[in-house]
Amino acid sequence: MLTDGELVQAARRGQKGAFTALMTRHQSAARSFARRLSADPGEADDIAQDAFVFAWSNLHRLRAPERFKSWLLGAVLNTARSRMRSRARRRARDGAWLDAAPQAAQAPGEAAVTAVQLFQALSLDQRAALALCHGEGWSHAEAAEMLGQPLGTVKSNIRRAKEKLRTLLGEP
Amino acid sequence: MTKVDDVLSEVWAATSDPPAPLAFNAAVLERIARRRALRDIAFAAMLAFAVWAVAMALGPVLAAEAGLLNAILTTPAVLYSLQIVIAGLAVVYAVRNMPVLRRSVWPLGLRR
Repeated sequence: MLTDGELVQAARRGQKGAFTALMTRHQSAARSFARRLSADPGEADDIAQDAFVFAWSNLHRLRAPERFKSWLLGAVLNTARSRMRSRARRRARDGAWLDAAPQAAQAPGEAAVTAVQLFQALSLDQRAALALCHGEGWSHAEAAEMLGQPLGTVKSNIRRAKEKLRTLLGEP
Repeated sequence: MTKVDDVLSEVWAATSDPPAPLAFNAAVLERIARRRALRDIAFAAMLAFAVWAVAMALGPVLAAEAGLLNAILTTPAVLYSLQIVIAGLAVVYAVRNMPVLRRSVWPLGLRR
């Protein structure tokens, strides 16, 4: 089986199917990560798709082809961030009444709704750091590189996220 | 295990391995095709404009100073023909990519 690095090189050479193979291999990770950043599964899939399109457009800029996955997850976060920014701008422009509108339904099972909603109460960076380090098992240093943030920022985001969850859950 | 750990475990379970829609890869490839088509058209338009601009700028100079060949090449009829050919090529390209364009730039939205 070809490594990520080999597939990236093949895709850069224009070899048919190489990018599709990368997509098939990393689709699940990208979509899971996007779902942890956005509560709406439809929007999460849109974010993952945009991240893959970004990856295709910028493949020649990837300095370490063997680290395609971490680069892709960074692209997922950046896409989610820019979408959330433009949504916030839209909200500010269109008026506060949108805030009162019902949010998109949670797709995950009924039992998980509360947990997912609680998780969505965290900031985007906090969610990203927790999702990478706790959900995916990346080290803090790897997550920091992926997110383009200092190591200390990632650690403090995780600490603050847990504190906030504890507060929301009423834990001492 | 704390309540926070429970919540996080629930979140990971609820968001891990989402059912893979068969259409996911196809949707990404379609977006890539759209972007590629728009990029190609923009490139063709820029190229056509550059050729047109150079021809317009140099045409009179060449016509005034050069010999018969240049004079023929830079007569208005030749210049207009050149522009028509370039525009024709752009239209042919656009028509060939029409299914992609229809979905992407019509009506007005660049996204599906």
